[in-house]
Amino acid sequence: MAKTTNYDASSIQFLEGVDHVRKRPGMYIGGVSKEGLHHLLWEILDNAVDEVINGHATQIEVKLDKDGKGASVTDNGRGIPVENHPTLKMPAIVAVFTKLGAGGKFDGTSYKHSGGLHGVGAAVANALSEQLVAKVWRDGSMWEIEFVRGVLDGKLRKLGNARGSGTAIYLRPDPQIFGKTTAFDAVVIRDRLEAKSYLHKGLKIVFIDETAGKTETFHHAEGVSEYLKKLIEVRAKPAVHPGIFYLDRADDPKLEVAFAWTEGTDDAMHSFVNGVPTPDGGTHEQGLRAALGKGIRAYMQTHKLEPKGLSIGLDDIREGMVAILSTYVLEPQFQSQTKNRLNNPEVAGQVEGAIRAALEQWLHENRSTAEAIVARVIASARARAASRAASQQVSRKGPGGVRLGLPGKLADCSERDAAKCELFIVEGDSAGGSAKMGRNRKTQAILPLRGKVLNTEQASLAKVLENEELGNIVKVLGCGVGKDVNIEQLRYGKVILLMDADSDGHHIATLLLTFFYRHMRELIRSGHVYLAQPPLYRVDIGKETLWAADDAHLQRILADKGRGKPEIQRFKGLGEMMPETLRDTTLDPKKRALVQVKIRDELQTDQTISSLMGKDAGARYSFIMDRAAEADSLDV
Amino acid sequence: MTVRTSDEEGPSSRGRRKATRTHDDDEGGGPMPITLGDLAEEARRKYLNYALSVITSRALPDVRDGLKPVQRRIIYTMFADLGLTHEARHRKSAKVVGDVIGKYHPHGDTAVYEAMVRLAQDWVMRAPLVDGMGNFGSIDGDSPAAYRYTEARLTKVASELLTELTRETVDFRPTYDGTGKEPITLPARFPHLLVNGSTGIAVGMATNVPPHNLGEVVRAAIALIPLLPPAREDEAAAEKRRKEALKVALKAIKGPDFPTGGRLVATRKELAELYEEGKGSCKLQGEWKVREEDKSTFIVITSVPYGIEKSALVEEIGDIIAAKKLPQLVGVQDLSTRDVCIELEVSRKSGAEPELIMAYLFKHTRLQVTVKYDFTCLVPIAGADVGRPDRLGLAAILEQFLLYRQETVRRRFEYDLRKLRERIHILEGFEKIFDALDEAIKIIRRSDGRADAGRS
Repeated sequence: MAKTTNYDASSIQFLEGVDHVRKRPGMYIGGVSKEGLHHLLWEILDNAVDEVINGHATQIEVKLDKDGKGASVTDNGRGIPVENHPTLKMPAIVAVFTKLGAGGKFDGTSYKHSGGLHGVGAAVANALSEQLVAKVWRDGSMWEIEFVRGVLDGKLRKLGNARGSGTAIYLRPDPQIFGKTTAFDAVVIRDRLEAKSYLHKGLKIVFIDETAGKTETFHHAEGVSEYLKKLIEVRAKPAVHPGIFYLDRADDPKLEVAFAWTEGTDDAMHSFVNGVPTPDGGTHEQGLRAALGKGIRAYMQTHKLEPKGLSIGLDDIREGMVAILSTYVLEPQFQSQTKNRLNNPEVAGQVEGAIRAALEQWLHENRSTAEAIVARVIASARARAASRAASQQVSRKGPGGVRLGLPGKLADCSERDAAKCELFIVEGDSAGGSAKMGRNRKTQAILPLRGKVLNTEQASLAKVLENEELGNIVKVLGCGVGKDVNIEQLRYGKVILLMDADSDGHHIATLLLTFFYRHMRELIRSGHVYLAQPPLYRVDIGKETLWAADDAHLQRILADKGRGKPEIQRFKGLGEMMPETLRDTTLDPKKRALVQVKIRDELQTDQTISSLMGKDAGARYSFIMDRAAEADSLDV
Repeated sequence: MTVRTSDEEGPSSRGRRKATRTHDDDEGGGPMPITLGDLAEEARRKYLNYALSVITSRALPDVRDGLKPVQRRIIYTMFADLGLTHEARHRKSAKVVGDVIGKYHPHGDTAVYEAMVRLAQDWVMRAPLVDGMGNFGSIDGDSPAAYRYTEARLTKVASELLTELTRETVDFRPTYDGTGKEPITLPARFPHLLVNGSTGIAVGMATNVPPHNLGEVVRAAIALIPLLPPAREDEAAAEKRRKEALKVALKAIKGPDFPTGGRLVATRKELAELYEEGKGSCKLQGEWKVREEDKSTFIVITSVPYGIEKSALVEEIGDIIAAKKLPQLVGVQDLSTRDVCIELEVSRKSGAEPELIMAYLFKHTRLQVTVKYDFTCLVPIAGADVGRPDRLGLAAILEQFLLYRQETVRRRFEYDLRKLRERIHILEGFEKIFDALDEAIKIIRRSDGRADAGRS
């Protein structure tokens, strides 16, 4: 060490408000990724929606700048107070935008239900924006105030007299914080606004998208039940029964819920707390699930519909279900400022009680619908039993726990601790050879595939298992398949897809991702699936050899190395590389780049996979033509 | 979304730049950080790369020369690297396939050989581009001999795609490994896309252009020259011009012209609609006649629909006879040599009308097929090497060809003019030297080597 530093009282830093947010944005917005960027806008939007929830506003307008890097949110609510705050000695609006912990949503008097609760949202959004302009209409006047990177720029100005009330916030996220991702995605915003408009009956949301020069108005009088119908339509799997279950409760626990069973094989639950989506669920979803389980089982018992010798699990009841749950909680406790998961323990019981009673009543009043649902549940239980039998056949164990029938093509590793093991699924035998020689045999196993695997988007599990290559993958992973996946039995901590960096490699990777997504989703959910990143180019300059992962990287290398004539070679297949080269670029954990595959949004993922791999060629055509510009590595 | 950054400090770049051929596993530092990728976004990105690669450089032909990349590379290799013109001697197909793969087309050998074989099959191509020697398969679906046996050279028609290549008429781009150059399109002198047609399945789209008669297509192209778009025109005028162009083109082109013959079941109006949209379908039937002998009546089928294997068709008819679904028929016999000749023996007892028998066969066998029209092809974009997929009507295809032809002819003249000027420059020099020969010789004798002589 060249220099020692004293760790004493002086080295304890205290970052106040804005500085702390800018220093550690992840704590407030969950990271400086694309999500984080949009989170700024959601904070502002949620504040506007809170005015709606509490009956002070009826209309919200969101406008996206032409360059996509700035947006404004305007509501016709009460307007943020502009008078001086009694103790802070500054206009209240300044406090709202600059002080962490300044908000009107703590005591439940100004706002009853609200998505905002920590009193930091506006201040965080402000701190991470290079510019934020707030306009307020209130008490017959119009006010304007401007901030630069969270700091007040000038002061609160009265622009003159005006009628009505409301707030307009314009913000541009700060490139210093977000780097290159400073443009909002109009599609993401649009979907969010549409969801909001369904959640709040009667709310009118206008979205002016200047990037595309479009204006769209969302207004849904029937709220959540209309949303559910739309979701079912989008998922293209029709409902198995007429009508939907819909409950709108005004008194505590205030909630709105709608669900129906469809022919789909997965279930989709969209839950919201005070209008904010909770993708990771929480206690309100638990309540709904418990209500469903008990309600359906009770109905089956009363009418003696239980099948013999077949146990009905909660998963069977939920299969094919599409549900929307919008709850309002007085003092919501979220896991973090990003509000992905509700933690209030009391909510589970309240929600369960409210829904179960209504559900049982609904089932008894609609006997034919109820019977269709029960038939659906029993069918899914039977399918589950059958697929369990099929997958056990594939993953049967021999005596002494030794796995029999591992495919001969697998070059396994010697490590016993599954968490340390990695399985590389490799495209083609020619690449498999290099990978086998270049790997670390203690922890890295190689499974070569031949050609393109089956497209599993529409295939049944039985058909999938008939396919030799996919059957091999299931055998090698050892954790079962379909609904029967048990992650604890997974034989490798990382399942890494290693494909050529050409178009066919890309295709095989999507086919495999589709297989994992449709038939072993738990594997992706638990973060076990990775994509290896083999290089695309090899550059020889003098005696030095460099590998470029993509075109941008290649240009950087060429720019760096002015002298010497670089020889550029494009990798066609992994089989071209010497085993050591493959190790150095792609296999060695110390040097390689890996991408961990995550599911960010279930519905969107489902739609993407089904439009890419599904039957509808028209959808695929428009998808390809619309997004042609996004492709980044084309074959010549 | 991939969070992997592509700026200077991206994790991938840091690790990779260090990586050289020397590998020591004990190098310090923990594992590389793992980045997160959203399934939907990764799948979308990868799928788009695949889809667009297939669309722009595999399955669709270019509107200008009517060739898919693999076909263009085969023909270019045979012409430029191997000199296999129609006047040359045939050479082993293996040589062609090897050169195509090694220099231009980094894909499987079977794919390349199969593409080359199709270019030689006269029941597939209206105007075959490859002249094959040896077994190049048959209309019965027999497979061709392996590439170590067969030999090939280009046909005379193919030279119409190639002769202007050496006169800087088209743009070139680097090959996949950057070691050479290949033409982006060939300087076709006739609308090849329409003449030989094309079939291909890309991702989310496909192409199906039936073959046409060379003479008709060329006449149509010539007739359309006055109707090329002017420098400026409003939408109404353009619409009118396009209507007119279609009419003119259809006057010359009566319909598809399959190398296997056949009878098209479509009205003029239906055909006009197909050619206007570049999409649709119509029915195509095999041709037949009746032959009477002393004791029996035969229906002789003289052509099978385009793209149908004759042997499979005979089997289908045989199955119908075996299953006694058509008792009027008593036998089927394939008497083809090089021409198609399937004889169906008709029972005279039943008093069957040959028309009725044929109507049944058209309905239940592939003696009648649906010809699909889908004129999807790659249309050039100004300033880009890669075209954009689009579905064009007949007139638009011809218009694109004519614009391309104008460009190649202009470039050919420019090239010729430049070469002539260079030649004139040299000849003028000679003239001067001849006028003062002694002076020149003196200078050369006096000078100290070539460089010095130039200066004096």
